[in-house]
Amino acid sequence: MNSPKILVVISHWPSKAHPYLTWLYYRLKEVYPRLQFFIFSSSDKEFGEQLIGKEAVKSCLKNALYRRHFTLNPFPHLISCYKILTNIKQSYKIFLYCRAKGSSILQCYGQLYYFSSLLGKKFDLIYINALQTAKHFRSRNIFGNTPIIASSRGQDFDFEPEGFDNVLTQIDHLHVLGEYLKHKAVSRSFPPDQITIIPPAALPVTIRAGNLVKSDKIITITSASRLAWTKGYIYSLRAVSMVIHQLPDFHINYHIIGDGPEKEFLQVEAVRLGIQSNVIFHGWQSQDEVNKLVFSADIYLLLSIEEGFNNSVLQAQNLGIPCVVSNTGGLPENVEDGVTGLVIPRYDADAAAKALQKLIQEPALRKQMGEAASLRVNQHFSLEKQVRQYADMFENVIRNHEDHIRLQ
Amino acid sequence: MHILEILNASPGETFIREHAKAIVEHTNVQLSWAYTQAQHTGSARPPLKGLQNCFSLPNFNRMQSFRKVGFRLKYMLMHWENAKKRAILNAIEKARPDIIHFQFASTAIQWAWITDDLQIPFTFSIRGSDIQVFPYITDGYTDKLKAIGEKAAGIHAVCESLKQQFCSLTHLSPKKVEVIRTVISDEWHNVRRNPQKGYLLSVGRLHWAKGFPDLLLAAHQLLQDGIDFKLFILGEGPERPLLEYMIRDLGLQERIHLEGTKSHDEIRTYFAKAQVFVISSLQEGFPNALAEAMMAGIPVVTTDCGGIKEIIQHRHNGYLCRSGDVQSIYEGMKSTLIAADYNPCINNGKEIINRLFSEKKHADIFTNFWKI
Repeated sequence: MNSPKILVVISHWPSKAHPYLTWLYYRLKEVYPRLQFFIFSSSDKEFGEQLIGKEAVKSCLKNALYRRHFTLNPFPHLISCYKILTNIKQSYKIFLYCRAKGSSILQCYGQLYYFSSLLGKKFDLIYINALQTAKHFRSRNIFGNTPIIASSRGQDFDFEPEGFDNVLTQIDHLHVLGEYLKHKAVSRSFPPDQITIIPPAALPVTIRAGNLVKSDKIITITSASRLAWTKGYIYSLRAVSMVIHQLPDFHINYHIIGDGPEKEFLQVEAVRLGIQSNVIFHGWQSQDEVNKLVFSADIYLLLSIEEGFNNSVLQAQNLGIPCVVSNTGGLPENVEDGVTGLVIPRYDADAAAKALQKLIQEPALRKQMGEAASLRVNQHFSLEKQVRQYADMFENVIRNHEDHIRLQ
Repeated sequence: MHILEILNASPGETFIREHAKAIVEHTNVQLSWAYTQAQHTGSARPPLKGLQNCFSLPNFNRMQSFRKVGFRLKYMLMHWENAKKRAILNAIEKARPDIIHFQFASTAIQWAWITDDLQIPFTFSIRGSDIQVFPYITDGYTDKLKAIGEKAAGIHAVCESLKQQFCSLTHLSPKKVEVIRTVISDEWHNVRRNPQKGYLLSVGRLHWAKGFPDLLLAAHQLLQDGIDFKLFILGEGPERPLLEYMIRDLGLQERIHLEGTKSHDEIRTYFAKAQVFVISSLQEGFPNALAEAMMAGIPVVTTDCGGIKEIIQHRHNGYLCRSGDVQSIYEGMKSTLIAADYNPCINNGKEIINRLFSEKKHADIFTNFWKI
């Protein structure tokens, strides 16, 4: 095993929604040049350049294989037909599988067309970035016995408890973000010794210039995530409104960064609660802008009701901001209760209001928690550590597979 | 008098059909309907008897291309934008209405230009999200609302609270706005009641405005108290994944059932069995489902948003909780579930609905409203 070939399957890459992935693969390529990565995704090239630079994106995408989008242009179809004919054995297997699933002949061709850039290629390992992607990616049909790793990143078992059982039988190794997801996978009877926990890493931070001097009476609370129901913003708004009414001496602002389907609801709810002048909706912002806004906050608030691990909370802790989070999914592993922030029961605006009140009234506690948070993130959630763990996981799985074959 | 009502989509929401039925049956007003967002163009099948005319206005966004070509040929010499307008105006002129009534303020804002060109007076209805949601999420909506309010010959609000909100938003005189309650059909009277113990019922679109997450949390507290209950939620909507997740997360799978959309006849069987009817809304004009449940003789627990507090008096004809307050909804459900005697409350409820929401009254006030 000199330079194993690894196929990375991602839905969009480099993507606007997941800047963290861009960093990870960039660093993996840099630190472990002997691992050869091939990225299979739909193209989304514009993003990522502002994170790691144009040249780096270019080098990461050198081996990229793209999903073909359906088109009436005959040229891609000619190429895909050529690929299908030259790899007729493999294509026939996929065709039979699709037919058995009840697809029409045209749909079968659609599937072959979709995967045609992968036909005839051999890899030592397939890594699928999320279980949701694994559901649609027919790796066993295309690659036979090649070992498969998939990631569980939340929103999988929680949403459809039984929906992923089929996928779990198809994969050899599971990567999870934390104990919570591991527990979920084990309860779906996935063998625990085939699970690796690698938590996400905080991104390197460039803004560290000078402490902002401002009055203790002006408090900024910030949240940065997609405005989806999973993030429980209704409880955040209610908690903030309670605090505003309980502490009239303080001037409290709540900044919400992000965009999503709940925006309309939250705007109206802020009016109903009478705090529309205190709540500021920033919409979607770039990673730099988010960092700046979070850095100027006193408290980071996220009362999710469904969560895998959450990168934005990690990033806020990295910036030295104390966090108030709910006890959902991986959040209690992310924030150490009483040390780097406060963890409160989910769906509970009263408890959140009490926690916020405590942090608002004690600036010293905020400072202490913020420092502890940034220290803990640097120790446990560094990018270097994450990159090493990923490389180890990939190599272990490949080695185990080779041993297995040799034994047979 | 000939009134043309402009609706969004065919066949019209239930409350608009009930309204039209009342007008047609109890007055000699001639009523026609025009749809703005229908798939087809031209005359449509009337969804109830007695309508003078029923047709769809040309909708150029959804029209099939061969029809578009037809229109293009008909108005060959005109600029395309003007041709679109002309086609719509022709359709309305053909109906020859005396007054145009828009069923929603947002429809009025979008379509009031037709009344300028035809010199026909118009009126419109405000029903909830027109006043409670859009002004806060759309820039410049309040100004448009004010402009349209000034131009209109009359404005209809479904409850006092919407009237107040409208007047405070637009600074228009309250004299111009008339409160006319919706119609609740008599058929809800003869639901043969056979209440089952611990049977809770709620009806509403699964939408954030209905506040179902609060209801689930209140139900979770009931479960922790060891109270035996079952909660049925009738309706469908975008919040379903959230509610399904919460039900699993709170361990309420055995207790709460999301039943989806049901027909009127099916709803009657649920009404027959329900011990308590619950509304947990955060935003409302006035929910018709509440009035229907009261008419059917079910004790109600409801939040105090929008026009609800005008009708429900706490412990007189129902239980009133604070909206968005889980604890208060929980207490309401608990005390109503274990209450000894429902009869006074039910009778008071039936009485007020019969008095304020009758077909006759609705039709009379509406004809007066249109006689401006």
